[in-house]
Amino acid sequence: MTSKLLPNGLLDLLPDVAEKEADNIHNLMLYFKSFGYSRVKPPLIEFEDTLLQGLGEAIAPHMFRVMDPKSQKMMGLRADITPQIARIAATRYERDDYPLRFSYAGDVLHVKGSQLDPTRQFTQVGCELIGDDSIAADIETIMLSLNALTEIGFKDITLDITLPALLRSIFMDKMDGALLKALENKNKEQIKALGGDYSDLLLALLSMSGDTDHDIEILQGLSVPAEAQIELDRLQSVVKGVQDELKKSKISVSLTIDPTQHSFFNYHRGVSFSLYISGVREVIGRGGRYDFDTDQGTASAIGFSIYMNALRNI
Amino acid sequence: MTQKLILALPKGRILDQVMPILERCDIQPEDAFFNDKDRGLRFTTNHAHLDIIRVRAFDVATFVAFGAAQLGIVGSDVIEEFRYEELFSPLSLGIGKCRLSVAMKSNDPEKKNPKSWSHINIATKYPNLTRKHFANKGIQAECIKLSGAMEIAPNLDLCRHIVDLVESGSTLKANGLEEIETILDVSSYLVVNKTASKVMQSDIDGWIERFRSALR
Repeated sequence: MTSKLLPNGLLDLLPDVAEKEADNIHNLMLYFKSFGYSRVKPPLIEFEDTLLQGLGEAIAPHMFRVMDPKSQKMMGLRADITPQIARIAATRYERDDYPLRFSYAGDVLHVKGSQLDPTRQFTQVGCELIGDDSIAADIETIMLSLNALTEIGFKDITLDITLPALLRSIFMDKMDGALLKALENKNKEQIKALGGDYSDLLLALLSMSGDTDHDIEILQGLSVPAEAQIELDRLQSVVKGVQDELKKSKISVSLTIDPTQHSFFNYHRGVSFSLYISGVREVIGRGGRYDFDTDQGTASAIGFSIYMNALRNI
Repeated sequence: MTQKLILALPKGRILDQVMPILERCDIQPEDAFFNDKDRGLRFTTNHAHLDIIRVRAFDVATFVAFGAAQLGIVGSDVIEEFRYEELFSPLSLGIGKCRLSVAMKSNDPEKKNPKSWSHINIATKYPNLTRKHFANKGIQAECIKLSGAMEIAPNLDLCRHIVDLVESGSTLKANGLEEIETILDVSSYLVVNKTASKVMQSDIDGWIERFRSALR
C-alpha cells in the first residue's frame, strides 16, 4: 500500500469537492471579468532568480526548487502568484498602459505546511489593480473581494483591515523585541511597562472595538510622526469609504481594524486586509497594497487572493 | 446570534489556582465539573454562551490554536514550547508560577563544567525549548521525549540532564538532582485564538476585560 501514498500535505479532491471548487472558481472569474479584470496565466515554474526578485523575496523560504536540465539553472515552483502578476505588469506593459486590472486562478506550492495545517498545495484566486495608488483603488479592491465572496454564496464575512507599515513608520526599526512581542500578544500590562513614551499610543491602537465609528474617532485623536500620520489618514479614509459602500450594498460584513498588525506578506506596504467567515477557523483571503519596480520606476498596486482550500469544507 | 465560546482549562496543578479567578469572573461551572467521578470532559456554565473543557495543560494551547476552543488558560512554558502563531496571550494571570530548569545529578562530575558540554542527551517534555536553549550556547541537545517522572532518568543512566518544571525543588532533591540553570520563568496566561478574536471580537474582548477586572 505504501506505494500509493501521497506525500505529506498533498491530496486528491474527489468529485463533490472538486466540482464545487471548479464552479466557485468559474463564478469568481466571471464576476471579476464583469468589473473589467482580465485573466492572465503565468507559468507554474520559472527561473529562481526571476521569481525571487522584488516582491518574491518574501516567499523564498517557502519555494520548491528544481534544476532545469535544459539551461542548467535553478528553477522555482511558484509559492505565490502576485509577484508573477507584478512581473507581467512590469515587463509586458508600458506605464502608459496603467492602470491594469488582472485576475488569476491557479495553484501554488509551499515546501512546508504550517504548524496547524500540513497542506502544501494551495489554490489561489485573485485580482490585482496595478498602477493606481488612489484611495478609491483601495476601496474598489476591498469591496470587490467582499462582493465576490457574497456572489458565490458566502455570508457572515469579517473584514479585518490592517496597516503593516504603521509601526515601522512610528518606530523606524527602533522597536524593542520584548515590546513587539507584548504588542503581538495584545498584553496591555506589558505594553504599559515596556512602552515608555509610546504606551498611550500603542494602547490606543489596541483599543479598536469593532464599532467602526468609535474606532475612527480613536484613530482621529492620535498624534504620530508625520510619516505615520500619512498612513493613518489613509487608513481612516479607506475605512470610511468601505463603511459607506457597505451601507449602500446589501451585504452584511463585520469590519474590524487592527493597526498593530505588522507582518504577514512582507511586501505589503499600505492598507492591507484579511477575510474571515463565520465557521471557518482559518483566514480565507488576504490582500493589500504593495510597490514593485519597473524600468520606469516604482509602481504601486493593490490586490487580493482568495484561498480556495479554506472554503472546501463548508 | 451569539456563537458559543469554549474556555479550555488545564487539569491538575494550576486548576486549583484558576478556580478563584473564575469565581471573581462570575463563571460557575455546572456541578459535574467538581465531581471527580464524572467522566464528562465538557461542562456548561452559568453563562449560556460559555462552556468549559478540561484537558491536559499541553493540550490547552493546541485546542485554542486550532480554534476548537476560543479561550484558554495555560502556562508560558506550553505557550513558548509550541509558539503557535494562531494564538496570543493578552493577560498574565499571576498564578502557576514556577520555572523551567535544567537539572543534573548532584554528584555528577560534569555538573561543574557546563562549558565542556558539546553534545548532550536530555530527557524532557519540552524538546523545542530545550533544543533552542542549548543551540544558543552552541550545544547540540538530543532530546529524549518523556511524559512524566523525568527525575528518575539520570539515576537510571537514561541521560545526564533533564529539563523540567521546578516549583520548590523538593522533587529534584528527593531524587538526588540539582538545578543547574533556569531556561524560562513560568506563569499562567489567558490565551485567545486569533481568528476567533476577529470573527467574535466583541464577545472575546468582553471576556478578556472580565478576566482583567477579576485580577484587580
